Amino acid sequence: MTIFITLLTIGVLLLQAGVLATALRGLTSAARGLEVAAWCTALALLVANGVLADSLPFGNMRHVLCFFPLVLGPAACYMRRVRSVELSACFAAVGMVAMVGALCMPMQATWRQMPALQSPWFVPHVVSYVVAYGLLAVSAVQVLLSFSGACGERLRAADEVVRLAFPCLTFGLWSGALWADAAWARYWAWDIKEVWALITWVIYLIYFHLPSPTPVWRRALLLAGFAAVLITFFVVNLLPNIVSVHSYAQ
Amino acid sequence: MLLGVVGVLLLVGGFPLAGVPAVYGSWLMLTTGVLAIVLSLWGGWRIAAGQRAQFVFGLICTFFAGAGLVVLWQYGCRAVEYAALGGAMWFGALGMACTAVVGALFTGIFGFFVMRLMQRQLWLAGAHWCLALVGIGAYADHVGEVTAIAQLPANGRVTIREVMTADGEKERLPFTLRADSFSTTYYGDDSYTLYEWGHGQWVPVGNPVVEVDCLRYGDELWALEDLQLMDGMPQPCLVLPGEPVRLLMRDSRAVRDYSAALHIETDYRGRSEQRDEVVRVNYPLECKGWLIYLNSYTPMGRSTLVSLQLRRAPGRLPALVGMVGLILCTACWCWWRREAATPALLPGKEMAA
Repeated sequence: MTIFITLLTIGVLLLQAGVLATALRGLTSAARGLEVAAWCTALALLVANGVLADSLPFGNMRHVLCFFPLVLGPAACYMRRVRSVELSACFAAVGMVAMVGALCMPMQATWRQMPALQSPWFVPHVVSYVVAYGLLAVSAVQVLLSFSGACGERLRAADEVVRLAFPCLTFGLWSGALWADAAWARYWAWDIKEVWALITWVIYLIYFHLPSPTPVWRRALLLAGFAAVLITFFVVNLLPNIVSVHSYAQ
Repeated sequence: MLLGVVGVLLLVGGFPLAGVPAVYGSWLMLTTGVLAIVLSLWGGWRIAAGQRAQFVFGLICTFFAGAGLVVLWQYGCRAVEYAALGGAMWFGALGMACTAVVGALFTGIFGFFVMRLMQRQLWLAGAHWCLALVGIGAYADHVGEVTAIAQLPANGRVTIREVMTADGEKERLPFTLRADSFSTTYYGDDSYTLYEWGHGQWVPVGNPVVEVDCLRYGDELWALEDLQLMDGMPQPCLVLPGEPVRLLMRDSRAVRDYSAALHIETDYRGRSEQRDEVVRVNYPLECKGWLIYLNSYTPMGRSTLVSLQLRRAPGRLPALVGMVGLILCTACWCWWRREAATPALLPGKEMAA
């Protein structure tokens, strides 16, 4: 099973690379086909992870990273069709990075969902954060690309993506508080993971409150926001000697 | 500016070495919070300029529509639950279903008004007010929250009427509380290990095979019911006399879930009212303004010491309503249909607010 999962992960990675290559060359129909294939393979990966874990596959960082391409595909489609912003290559690149990360993580066998995690809030909380973090990664890539040209267009695209991501980020943060109120008898514990999640939210809040944002400020805030995402998702989890009530997320 | 200060304060506390609780409990943070609440209220009011009556009425309708949704969900679930029990419970199920239909009507009627009244800008104003509501709730809890830990043996013999709060004061409860029993469920099938006493410690020698109601190890056979909890042992076990002495013990397993059966006695208009409830992790009980949470447990031989957390939080309801409202309003503001141009790129009323 572990070999099968590794092969599926590599498969998603290669298909995302295919989407990236074809989208960059302007081969639209090929990119769409590969996008669908990548999404289907990511779905198979989710099922395989679930079978191996004998539970919902959201037990560790590898599980969560494997989930990224599954939500990024529909998000790319939404941006294209509803917001008229073509970002398939960018979404594929972020999906590739997530898959490389997943391949670097150890593969644990069965995962036991501890009692506090057996809540109706668990899946929506995790999924909303995966959607938000994936989209914010895409916006950060757009900001980085804006340094090489087409600044206004890139920043507009980044803004559209952030507007799609921000409600998910809000849901993740405050649904976590609602869940904590039921599980831990307090909706806020000033836990280090919670604090960094709040910092991330506040940075994007500042971004929305800029009265007349200049490109410099917008770039700075969007990159700072994504840096906070990385700290919340990786650094707080992986740094040793950090005491957190979210330690099961490691 | 204020958001910047909040960000900096959070950042300072976000580093473990800076002493997280000290930063967040400081007067600076508390003052900044009050300012944030005031500015959120003012910001929301300003954004809704020209449409304030519409905004207030829209928010009230949103609240009723949400309340209807909660009633629909809760009573709908109970109706299904009662109907599944069958027999006379069908009448109860019918009553629940009627209430659920009323909830659905509330949602439909007030939802219609919400759709007609609220616009994208007004959702943004609503988000500001909801954030203020969260802050007000948090401050009410900061001032008036009472929490206490109660540890009760799950044998139905100890009843408590008052608790020692986190502040070290005795608080009389408006009810009496007793833990009658405690149950734990585990993941996976049971596995057992046979140990031998040697060199001053228990050494594992093998794993008996589990059969229908017994354990087999080679030619030896033991009944599963002979394994009992003993003082000082974490799992049910059986001591096998002989030379050397052997011990058969169930392996520790990952806990799937645990729950405690509580007996609550309170008075309703001068008459005694008794409730038997089961409390689980993630599902606290509510009684007379107090919330009862199941925290943890400690095995004590044949019994279990149940750790409950009791909490009276005056700001909980506004804070939770604010959080739900904030999620809803933010989503509606960001995802509501917009004009052709992205407002963020146009310096206008929205961004100025």
